[in-house]
Amino acid sequence: MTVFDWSAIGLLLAGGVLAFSCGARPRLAGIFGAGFGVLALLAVLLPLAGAWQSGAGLMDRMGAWFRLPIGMIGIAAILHAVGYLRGHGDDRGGVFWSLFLGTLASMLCVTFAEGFLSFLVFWELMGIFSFALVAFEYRSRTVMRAAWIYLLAGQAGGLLLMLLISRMDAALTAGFFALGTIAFGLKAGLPFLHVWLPEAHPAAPAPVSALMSGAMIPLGFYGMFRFVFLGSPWLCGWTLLILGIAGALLGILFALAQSDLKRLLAYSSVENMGIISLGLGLGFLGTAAGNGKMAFFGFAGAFLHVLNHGFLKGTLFLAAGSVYKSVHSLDMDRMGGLIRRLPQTGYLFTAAALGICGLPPFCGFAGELLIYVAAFSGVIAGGTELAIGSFVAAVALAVTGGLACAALVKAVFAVFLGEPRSPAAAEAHPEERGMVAALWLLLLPALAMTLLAPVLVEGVLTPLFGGASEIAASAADILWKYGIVSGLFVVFCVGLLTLRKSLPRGGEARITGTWDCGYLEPTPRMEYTGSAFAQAIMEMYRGILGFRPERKRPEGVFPCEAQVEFRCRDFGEHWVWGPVFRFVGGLSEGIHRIQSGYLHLYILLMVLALLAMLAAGILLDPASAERFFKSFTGMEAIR
Amino acid sequence: MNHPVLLWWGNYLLALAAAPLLIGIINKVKAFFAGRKGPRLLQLYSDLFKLLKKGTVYGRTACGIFRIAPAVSLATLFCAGLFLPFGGCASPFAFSGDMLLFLYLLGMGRAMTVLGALDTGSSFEGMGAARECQFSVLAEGVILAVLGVLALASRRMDLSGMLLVSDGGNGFQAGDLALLLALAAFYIVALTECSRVPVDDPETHLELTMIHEVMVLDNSGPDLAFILYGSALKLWMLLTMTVLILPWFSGAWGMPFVILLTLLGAVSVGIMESIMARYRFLKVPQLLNSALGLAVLALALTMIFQQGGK
Repeated sequence: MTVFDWSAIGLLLAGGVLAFSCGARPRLAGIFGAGFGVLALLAVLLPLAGAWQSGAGLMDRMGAWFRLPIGMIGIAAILHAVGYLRGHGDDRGGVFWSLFLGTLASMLCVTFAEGFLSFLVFWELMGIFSFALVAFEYRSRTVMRAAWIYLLAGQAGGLLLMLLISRMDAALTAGFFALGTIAFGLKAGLPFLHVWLPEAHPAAPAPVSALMSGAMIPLGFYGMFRFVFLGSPWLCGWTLLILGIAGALLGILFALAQSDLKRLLAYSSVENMGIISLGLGLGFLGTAAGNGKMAFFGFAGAFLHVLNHGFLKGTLFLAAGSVYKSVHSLDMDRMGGLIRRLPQTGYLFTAAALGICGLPPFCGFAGELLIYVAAFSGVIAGGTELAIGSFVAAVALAVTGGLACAALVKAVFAVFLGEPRSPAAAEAHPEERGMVAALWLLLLPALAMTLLAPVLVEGVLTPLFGGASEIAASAADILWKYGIVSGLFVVFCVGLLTLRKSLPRGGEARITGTWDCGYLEPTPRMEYTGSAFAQAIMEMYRGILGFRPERKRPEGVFPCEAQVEFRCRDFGEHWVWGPVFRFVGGLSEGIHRIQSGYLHLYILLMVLALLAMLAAGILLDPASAERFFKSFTGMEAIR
Repeated sequence: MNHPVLLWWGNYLLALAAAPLLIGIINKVKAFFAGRKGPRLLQLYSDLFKLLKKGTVYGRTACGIFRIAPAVSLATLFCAGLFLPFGGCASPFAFSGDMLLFLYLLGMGRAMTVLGALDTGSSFEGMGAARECQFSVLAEGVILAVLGVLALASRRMDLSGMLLVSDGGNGFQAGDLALLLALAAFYIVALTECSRVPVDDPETHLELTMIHEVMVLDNSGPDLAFILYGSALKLWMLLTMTVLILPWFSGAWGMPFVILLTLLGAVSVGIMESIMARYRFLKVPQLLNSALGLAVLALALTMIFQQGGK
């Protein structure tokens, strides 16, 4: 840690305390919180290049990589929060700012921590601070439910980490690998462990969701790199690959099915964590197979995607927050046409949405490109198993891309395009300048990432993963070419638009009602909704989504009312946790019968339990049992 | 030294210039089957010129996305074309992994078209957009599977490399069987991507049966010209790719054959559209899934042949 880093933590703590102590005066709290926060994050960001250049340890450099999104998203989120809190809980601004700065400080400390114990402490602090932020609007019952789920998931992860600590020095067995993967996977939103994401993100204030989704979830992978991925790369590779494929496909499929904007974005985070996991899996499999190209491309792609996803998803969540501020709802089927009320927010959201689908010319494609190349090099070079695994991964990634496009186009359409579908949307408040600036602050680095990616791969990721120089050069070369083609694409677009303008009547435009074969009186009731848009794809994957349409058919001679509603249950909840909790609940109910109130019975039970433990000890570890009994006999002898 | 590069540029420009001809060929073939005289071979050129000279009408609901969508979609095609080995000449822009950029550029074009359609706020166009997204999900998987087969067969990761792999003059080999399967799969996807029968019907404008045509219902003037030209160009590009999957036409001598076969591909599309009806929408996913099946089979065959050859 440099002086800058220490001062950043100090500033964050001081800002938190100051903001908390002037909670009665929200303006002052905002000034302290936002000012100290931005200063601290700048102090973290400035020396980052130095941290990569210097001969710092591997984990320090990796921590520095994860610190970049924390800093960037943190600053944008702070800027956004200033506007977001105004008239929206600013009486509790002091609490918000102290918790927010606390979260930032603990996240930074996680990346700084040297030993496992200090890591664990900061990890838990991070979970608790962010829990309090998720529960910020504690008066709402749904918010509290979400917050409890988040706390439970976090504590379960913490418990598993404490189990892991007992074996830190010993060789990492498969059992402990599974333990660690689950513990960190709970944070990283790996499939089936992701259940808290779609609950907590809609409940939390938007700047908090942006920070959590863009910067905090990927820390799960950081933790895995530090403490879990030490054993066989073959095991790591296949685990991550399979989890990644499942997470990417299921995550985006469920994103498509949502009608709550932030819930959709949360599922999209599950998808993107799946893509990162898939890339890491390919990287480990490449290592195991001795395929240097596949290994480097997989790791580099996954790490680039951490940054790209952070910037883009941060933008999307902040924009969702601006929308929420304007219409006081997150139900996409009741929005529409907001681009006229929130023009900049709308266009920025659209750009970020296209970017997160991995479409050129945005940065989201850079990471995915490297991951694809890793997969293809596995198909070409690997043995049969590896080739099939990589092939499935590549096809899954393509299908995910198609679905992501549908899901985010749905979000853009349902929120911003068409006619307003509710009075609230028609009378949405105009956007605030500060909040728009926060969006720009995140989207501009995202745009720059298209060109910066090769620099980062060459300068940072190559020393980090020890890639051979010619492999690293080829990765950077591919990314450079992508950057050039993106530039060319923009030139083509501008060229075509100019050409279009310079046509004889190119500038001539008549504005009338939408034609559409006689659709002259567009009412919101006649429009396609987001749900209607997604329905065709949802029907195709009905078996997986497991939704039941609730239909109210038109009846009678003069039918007046009809409606269809779709609801899907979360796949983790439905397939894994529901049955597990039901089983545990049933079991507890059975055991509950023992609680009869008879003291005799309780004593009997205690004795039985002791005897059972003794028997188990003898059976499971005969050697130490023998020693134990010998010690008795030895004592007899002394007597 | 610059000879192949110049040839490629010549072919690229030929594709840009001659793409509308394909639509003319298809329409002529269809007219022949129907016993009609049909529109002129160069009709689309006249249509394009006419549209370019007109003004535009915008819907009141539409915002800026609708206005730029046609130009951006066309730009994606120009860009994607840079990587295609038109006429069997290697592209000077080729790099390892460019096929993914190609695929995603087409995806970007589609996303813009879909957004433009949704921007009008009409449920008619929303319906088309929903279907386009639905089928593209399946189609992308198939295209990637075919690319995987080609990559495995050629051990290359650039479109020029994987499409121009030559058979060394050995004629038909056992391994080519896999490529024929891949070709069949890709042909199906090409028809889907270009919105032709049996997935979509480009003839009808006023039926609830179409995908692409309904999305562009509200575009007019130069925008419509961009869109019509873009779909013709896309057809040329995907037919060229289909032809080049076969390993027999690489090398400079193959160029006339590639161009001829591209034109014949248009004839085949015309014949298909004359002798069969569009599938019901419920059947289209089955069609695309069977294409995926073909591609997976092709991959398995390629792997088996390669291991046998070792």
